Amino acid sequence: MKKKFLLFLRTLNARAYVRIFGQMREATWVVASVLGGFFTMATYIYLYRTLGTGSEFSGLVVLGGFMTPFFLNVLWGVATQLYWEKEMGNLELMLVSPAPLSAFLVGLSVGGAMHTMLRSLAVLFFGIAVFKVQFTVLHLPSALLVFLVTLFSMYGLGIVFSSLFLYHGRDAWRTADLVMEPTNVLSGSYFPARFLGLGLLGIAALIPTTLGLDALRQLLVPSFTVKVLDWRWELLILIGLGLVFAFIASWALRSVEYKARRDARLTLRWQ
Amino acid sequence: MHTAIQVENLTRVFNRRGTAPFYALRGVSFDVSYGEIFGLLGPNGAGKTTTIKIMSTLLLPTSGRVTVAGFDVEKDYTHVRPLISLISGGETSGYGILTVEEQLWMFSQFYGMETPVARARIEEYLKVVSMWDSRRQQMNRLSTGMRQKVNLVRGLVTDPKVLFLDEPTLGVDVEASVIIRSIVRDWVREKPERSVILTTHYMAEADELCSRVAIINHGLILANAAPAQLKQDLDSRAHYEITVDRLDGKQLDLITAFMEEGNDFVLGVDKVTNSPMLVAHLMHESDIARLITALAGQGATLEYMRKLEPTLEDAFLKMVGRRFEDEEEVSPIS
Repeated sequence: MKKKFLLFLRTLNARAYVRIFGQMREATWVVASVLGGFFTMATYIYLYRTLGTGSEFSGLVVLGGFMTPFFLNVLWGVATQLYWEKEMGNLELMLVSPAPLSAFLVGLSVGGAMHTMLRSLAVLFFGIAVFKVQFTVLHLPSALLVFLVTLFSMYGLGIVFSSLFLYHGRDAWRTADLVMEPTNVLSGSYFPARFLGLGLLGIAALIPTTLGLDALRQLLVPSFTVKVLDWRWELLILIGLGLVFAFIASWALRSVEYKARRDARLTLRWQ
Repeated sequence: MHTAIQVENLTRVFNRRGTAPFYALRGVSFDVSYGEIFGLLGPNGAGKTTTIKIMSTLLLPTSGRVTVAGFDVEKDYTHVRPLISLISGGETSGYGILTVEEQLWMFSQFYGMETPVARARIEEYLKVVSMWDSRRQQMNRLSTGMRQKVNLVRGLVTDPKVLFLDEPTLGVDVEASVIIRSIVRDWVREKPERSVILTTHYMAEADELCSRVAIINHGLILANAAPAQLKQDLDSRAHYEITVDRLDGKQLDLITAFMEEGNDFVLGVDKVTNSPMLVAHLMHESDIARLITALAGQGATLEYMRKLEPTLEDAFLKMVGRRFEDEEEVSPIS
């Protein structure tokens, strides 16, 4: 048991290392992603200012700009990763090793979250510095807890998707491409999610960013009143979602690996 | 327990929508002992890679049974994986942004190795392949040969019991190929509980490295023996190439007499000296001394002679019906 646990930790650490230190070597990509996030955020802030909305809208946009890189990392850096690993020829080596697939994915998630954190903090810093947005930290531990639980839930969802990608390959890739923008809208990255209306909110609540962002806005922007639910309820829902995603992910990875070995999907590229 | 791998009646069928089922393997059986380098030879689509994928737990068999170190690859795959390593030719695995050292360390962690142990082995093997000085180079800046040496080190660092080498010298220059072959040979000799399964397109490589080879085609094992045995089984006659200074009436009469005893001759001209040349296929090895003496007795002077040994390629050609270069089929597993 101890041996298995150590194997899991070592695999997690090694895979996270690639994400954290390896990607730092691609400086142009880091700069481009920070600037991209910043300009998207700037567009919405200028739009709200043009419309004459209250200053709290700038705050909620900056928080959206802070969380969006995490969502993109989950979609393109975790959910699609096994597909990429297969195309690069790494998946075979990962599977031939004694390490469980879940260890690779948790490593990817931890490394991805840490790497993305730097980009997100840069976006947050530029948002505050350039647009003079002010946040009031009413309760820092609660805000940190909400943030961490949101990440746990988001990356859990990413791991669930990764098993689907492994089995369905390019079909799933196109689907992810298709759902990216609608999901961005549903998660209310740059506007209060409550404006979606009750029907859409039911679906949107399954995306952890939606409730996570809403809770963070309540905790960091006191003048933000158009909340979906009280942040405490949102935190509980996020914990529940995270646990459900973790359970599904664990089952799906085992099941998909078996099916992929049966149907030769681990070795066929460009399927 | 002397058997590293046991393959019993292995069959693998690929079902594709809209096409007839493809039988990649049809009841294949063989075993591999510890301390052995076992070769799997066959054209593309013959079933070599499918067999390796099943043995290395990447693919399930349709029927039949495979055990590695006594563990069933289908049911006990979690016990098999810590004991094996897979290295494929033309492999582009890993991450280009990592250095050689980082890449090897990363893969060692997937086997749960302690970092100091892993680092010591990485240093040892990088020195063996003369790449210690390149340890801080990024992977995406290495040549094909260097990358393949790193792949080999990656496979050896975890000290597997069974090493699967799928075309390990594919696309690699002569110097790197020689180094890789030498390391593989020494690695197996070093510990008796190690074994290697090799697939290769290079017959000379299989001949040089393998203690036994199985020739596979259309999912069937056509032969399974030591390379020397396969070559011997090919033709029991003795073959010689002889160049003499003259070959006219008297000598040709002599050759006709030899032919009446069941020997075969092909007449030609030496391309370098323009002297008459004979390729003799003799029923008995001892006939060569008699032939040379008789030719000399008829006034011909021997200029050059060499024995022609059958190659593994000849054995392959006889069994499969075509050379590797003539391949047309494409495997469903790539």
